[in-house]
Amino acid sequence: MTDFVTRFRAHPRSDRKVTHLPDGRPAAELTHLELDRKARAVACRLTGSGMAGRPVLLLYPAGLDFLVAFLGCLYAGAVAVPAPLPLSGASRVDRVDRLIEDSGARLVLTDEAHVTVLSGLSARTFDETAAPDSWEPPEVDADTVAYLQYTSGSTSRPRGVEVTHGSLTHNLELFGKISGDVPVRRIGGWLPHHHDMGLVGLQLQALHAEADLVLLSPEAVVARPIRWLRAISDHRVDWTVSPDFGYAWTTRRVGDAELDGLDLSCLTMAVSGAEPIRIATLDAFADRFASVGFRRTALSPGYGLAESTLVVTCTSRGLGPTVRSFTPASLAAGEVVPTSAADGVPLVGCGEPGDMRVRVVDPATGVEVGDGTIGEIRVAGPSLAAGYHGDPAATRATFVTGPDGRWLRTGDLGFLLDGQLYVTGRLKELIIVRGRNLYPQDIEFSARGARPDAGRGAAFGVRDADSGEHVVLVQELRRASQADAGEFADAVLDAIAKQFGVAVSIVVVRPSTVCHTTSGKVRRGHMRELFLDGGLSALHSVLTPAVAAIVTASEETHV
Amino acid sequence: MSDESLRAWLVDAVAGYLELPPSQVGTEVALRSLGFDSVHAMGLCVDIEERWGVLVEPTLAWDFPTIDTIVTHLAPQIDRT
Repeated sequence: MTDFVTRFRAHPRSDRKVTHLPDGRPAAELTHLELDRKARAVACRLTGSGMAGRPVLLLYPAGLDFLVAFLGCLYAGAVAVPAPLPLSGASRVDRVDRLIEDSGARLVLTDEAHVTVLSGLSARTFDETAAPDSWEPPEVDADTVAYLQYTSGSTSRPRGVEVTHGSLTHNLELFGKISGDVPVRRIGGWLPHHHDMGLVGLQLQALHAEADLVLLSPEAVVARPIRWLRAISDHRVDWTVSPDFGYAWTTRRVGDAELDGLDLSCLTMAVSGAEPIRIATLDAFADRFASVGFRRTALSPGYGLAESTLVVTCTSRGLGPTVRSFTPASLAAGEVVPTSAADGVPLVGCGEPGDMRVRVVDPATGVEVGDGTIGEIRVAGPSLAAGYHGDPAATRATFVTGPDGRWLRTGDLGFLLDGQLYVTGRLKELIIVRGRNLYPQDIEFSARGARPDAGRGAAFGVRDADSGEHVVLVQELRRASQADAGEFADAVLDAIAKQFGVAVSIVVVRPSTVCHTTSGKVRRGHMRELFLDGGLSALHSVLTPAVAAIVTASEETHV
Repeated sequence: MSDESLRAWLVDAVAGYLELPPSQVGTEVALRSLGFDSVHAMGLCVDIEERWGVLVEPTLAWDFPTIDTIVTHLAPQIDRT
């Protein structure tokens, strides 16, 4: 298989372009040919400063410069490390320091507008006027690391997934198969380029498939989601991607008057991934925009994770979502029974496994279970990443090599039925809110930093089919503290809200309530069960309405 | 403009973002305790600008965590415009 760089280099087209639509300013454009020329200039400069094989941190706002720099790194055989711009808040600056330390990056690249504000990191702009013709292809093979995909901010040690040139190329080829007989022609979207779905699913897919690319910034679309639909309509985009919340928020925020002149009939792939997919979201979006030409069959639920570059399975173009209902009791018992009864729980299929093999196993024994049995999802195939950067122990624990090959333990729960993969929950402690990965230890750390009398805490996610996933923190108040538990809860919640921008429910408890293992590891799963079963004695609690509803439902099923 | 019309408008707006009945949106409770997050905060910014003609930061809901404190903060600015 020709690798991504070689293939793109072979025919960069002058009739394909990348367009950035900045908020309130004129659009910026580059053809694939111009992009290639600029990337070669960047590569020459990187090679000249000895960066081949070394990590380069890329701190860019949404726009075209990121793609030039990223491609330049790959052209130079340097390891690209995309990360969010650290614009506000001390914690974000700390995070960049940890990324630099963890990745070993000694060069930070940014754009003109941010070089001064990032001068503390010795950030530099690239020089794209260097002679691109002196560029020579780097010596890379399929196992060479192309870039590090860091998942969202960890206060503890960041985890950089090592994506190789081989795994990237394989995953991009997989997109071609999902597209079917009709190659993608124009891709549009707004996911950040430091997110795996934004980087691979939008930007790199467009280059690999020789498609036009239309980019908006996440901030612009969250503020006014009509911009996303307008870009699709104006640029005749046929492929877009978003987490569930993007579809839900857009359905809710776009007013009737804004639909005037909109035509979404061009859109044949609207991929939903990166967080639990709610059937209510898909239905509401399809209903809301049917009158402007949106077709329900465009909705294409998928499943993936950075450890598999991006996509594992995705509904193929034109099929539309597969929705099946199961009895609540069978889902709780882990052996699903389809039903057409009104109390059935509808689940959305995430597509059929193809080039990436999928197996569902008993998480305790690792033994494969039959169709319809819920277990841990494991994945094998050429899209698997090389591992976690600088963390061989975590790599060995997650990418397990046995007699039948190398398998990724995804930490996600689900089942296979009639060829479709359904994702039902999560074994790992990661919490996913609005497509963003949150590590429980980061929330616990933030809580401890908010108040000196904050003791041990346990953060975890709870979810239901209607409202998605929510963060809960069980937080000890130290014995010596004379503080009012309500004030204490407020201070902790304020700090977390400011730092993470997510709504958190809190249960303030007495010391020695939060369980831990003999080695000191917080037993988050156990605390979650206690919380849902009503087994915690609270000094004070503040639950969001959605979390309160989940607790009520959970207690009812346990009575 | 009366503070009450701003307050009532904020209750309706917040109830809309959170898909809650307005009766569940207290003006003295922290918005985050209702499930208000950074995406809703962005929506609130845009809507305040459109309805009341004042520019606010996306951090408004963290700096002024309840509807009542937002009213106290915004009312003088709105009256000036």
